[in-house]
Amino acid sequence: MVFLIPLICPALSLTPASAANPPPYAQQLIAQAREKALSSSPRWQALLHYRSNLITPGVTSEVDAVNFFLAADGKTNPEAELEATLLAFFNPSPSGPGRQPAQCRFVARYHWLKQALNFDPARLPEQPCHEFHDWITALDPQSVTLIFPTAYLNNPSSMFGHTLLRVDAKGQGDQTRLLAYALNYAAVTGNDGGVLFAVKGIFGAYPGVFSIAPYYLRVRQYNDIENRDIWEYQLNFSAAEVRFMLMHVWELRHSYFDYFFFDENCSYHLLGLLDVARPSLELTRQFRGWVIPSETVRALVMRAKLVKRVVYRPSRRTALAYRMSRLAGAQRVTVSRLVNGTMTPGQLALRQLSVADRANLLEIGYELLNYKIVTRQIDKKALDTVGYRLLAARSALGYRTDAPPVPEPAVRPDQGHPTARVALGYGNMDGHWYQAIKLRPAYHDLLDPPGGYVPGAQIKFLDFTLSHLAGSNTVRLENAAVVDIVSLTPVSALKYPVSWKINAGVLRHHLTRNKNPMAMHINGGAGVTWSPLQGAMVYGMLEGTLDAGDGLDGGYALGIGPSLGVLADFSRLGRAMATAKLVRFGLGGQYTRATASMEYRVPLSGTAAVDVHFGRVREFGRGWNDTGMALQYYF
Amino acid sequence: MKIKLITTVVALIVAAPMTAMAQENNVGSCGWGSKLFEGQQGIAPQVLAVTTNSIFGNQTLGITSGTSGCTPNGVVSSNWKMAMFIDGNKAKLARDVALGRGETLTSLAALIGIQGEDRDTFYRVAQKNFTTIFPSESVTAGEVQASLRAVVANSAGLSKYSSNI
Repeated sequence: MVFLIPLICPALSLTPASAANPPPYAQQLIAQAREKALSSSPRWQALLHYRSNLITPGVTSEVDAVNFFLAADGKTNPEAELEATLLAFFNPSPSGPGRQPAQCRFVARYHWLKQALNFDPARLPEQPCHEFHDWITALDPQSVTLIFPTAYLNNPSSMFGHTLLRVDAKGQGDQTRLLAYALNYAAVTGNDGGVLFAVKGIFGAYPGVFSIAPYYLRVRQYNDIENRDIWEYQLNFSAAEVRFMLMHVWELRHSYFDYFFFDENCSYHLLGLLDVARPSLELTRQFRGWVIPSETVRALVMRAKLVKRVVYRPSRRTALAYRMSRLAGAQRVTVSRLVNGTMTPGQLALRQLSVADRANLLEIGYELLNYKIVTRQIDKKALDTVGYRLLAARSALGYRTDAPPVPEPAVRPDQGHPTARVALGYGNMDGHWYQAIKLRPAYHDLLDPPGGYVPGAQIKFLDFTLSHLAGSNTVRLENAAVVDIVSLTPVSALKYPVSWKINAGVLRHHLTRNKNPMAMHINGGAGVTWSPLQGAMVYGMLEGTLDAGDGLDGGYALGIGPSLGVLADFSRLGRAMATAKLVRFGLGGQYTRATASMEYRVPLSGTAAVDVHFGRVREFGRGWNDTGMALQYYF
Repeated sequence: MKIKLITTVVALIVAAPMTAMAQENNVGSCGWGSKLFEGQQGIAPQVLAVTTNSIFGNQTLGITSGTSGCTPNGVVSSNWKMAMFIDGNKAKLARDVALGRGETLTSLAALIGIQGEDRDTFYRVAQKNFTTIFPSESVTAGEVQASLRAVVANSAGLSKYSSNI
């Protein structure tokens, strides 16, 4: 249905002025615009979000709202759209969803064309745009900052991180950034959930719109509630460029883009805005197909002098964990007792502690209490009683020294390894020597260099292996994971979290050495992770597995079983992982699969690594080994 | 049939995380709280279930129920700025006032328009009067604003700012 609307409605968007006989000055401006080929200038292309078509010649605008175009064929015809725009500027009467004159509705187009064609105000009177003026005055833009809240596995919407823009006002400094406004691009999904949401999302059935809200609301949401660190990339745009970009945001106020989760997503359209601010950047052109937020951040950092400064804003949990790590064991106990109410601030005062120490313990206690409330470990009512007492006692100390700043991670998100990976491998599997090529378009696994990524989080998409067995003259698909997600969060003083995994794809069963039918494979599990020492994680999970394919009774098998894993980080010397897993299939096909594997990966540079693995599988009553190595390249 | 079913399941599993990138919070205008985690079921719904509103009682209800204080364009009209800020940051503001320092308190000082040379006095006076400004954790934003105004008015060096609050 959505696609029908453009066929029906364009006539309605024609303005009266363009329908009647145009004034001579309009004719003159149109002639000038043609002569200067304005419609093919990068600025016009950016303002209208035109992109060259994939196959056919010509361009199409990514904007899907009909009301964004003034010409009937404006979506695909830049020149007609520019001329219709010029004509519309002669019409002072309000039009469109915001009831404004065209000069105000399309204030960025007007601003640019006025300069490009030297509008004569006597022959083309300028309309006052009060609404826009009030809005831009309230924003008072000086510069713009790209905000990157890091990935958040427990919310699928945030697995790859997110990006938004902060409009920094004149006179705002580091300590008053909370007062800025944040510009966000998101799909309007209404109350759709689950399946409908997923399907509509992939096919672009949701409208994506820009919205603006105070930055402190964003900080609260990401930093305080979702406990995600935020990275702020201050960009090198002039006040005039930022203002022009916001003029364009105003133009998009009543418009929308069809939201495509893979490519036309939050990060993509923010790049589109930056292209409007400075068309020579051509940032959107870099991305076609698959847009990962951290990759767009990297794209900005790669541009010379585009990023002025990077500021790290640790989450509440990060800051709290850091402060707790500096406490002695006995002090930690004191904090817990302050939080669970078994010690009152009055009792703390009786202890022989310095004012600084008491202030510190009360502050950490209050933070821990808030953290436990946000993560639903304790009831929020405790804030009124315990929390309030902590703050009252803290204020009574009259002590005002800054807490030590949380150290910035050594690797920023834009400095992590690139998200796509290709590998060439060689090895022996079930007695066959093989060569393999592996491709993983996105994003990060547990053995990749962890810098810039969320620790213990693995997200792989469309990871697949093609292999060529020695002596055969075909290449076969060995395995493919459409999706493979693991979230290992070690139990700590702060939380007792659930670790979990989910993956789906295809793999080969080895019924005999030469009979390896392909089977569907869906697996998920939940368990607990410990971190016995720095850089090491141990987990145990209970997993459920569904296999489907030839060679199984009834064509499928459903089973459960335990798994264990150890992950060790040797810093520059790489990372290693050992896993063991047992699945007993009882429903459908009845058999047992036991797997044990060891893998070690050592980075050669920021973009290359060597990986060696040894695995043993026992299924259908026979065991087989897979030993090999691979050279990996991130790009 | 089974294969078809499984294909569908796989497709949906793949789709879910990708799709969700979009649904990153429709915090459009000022009715933010209730919309933060609107509707969607994730892999860990219990985490999603934590909403802003549930954290600090119903402090945000006054604003979340409508767009009062906000222009339709998402920008806060100037006479609502301070009330909105206090309302949206109440717990952190309470903390910063008790500590006599912090980003939220500094931002409030900037909103009030307190000059550089008076900032330190303001932070100290605010900390000293914590229990007056926040007589309880469940105090409303309006009450915080009123008592802050009174505290500033009664402070020798700061009284000139009380009309800004």
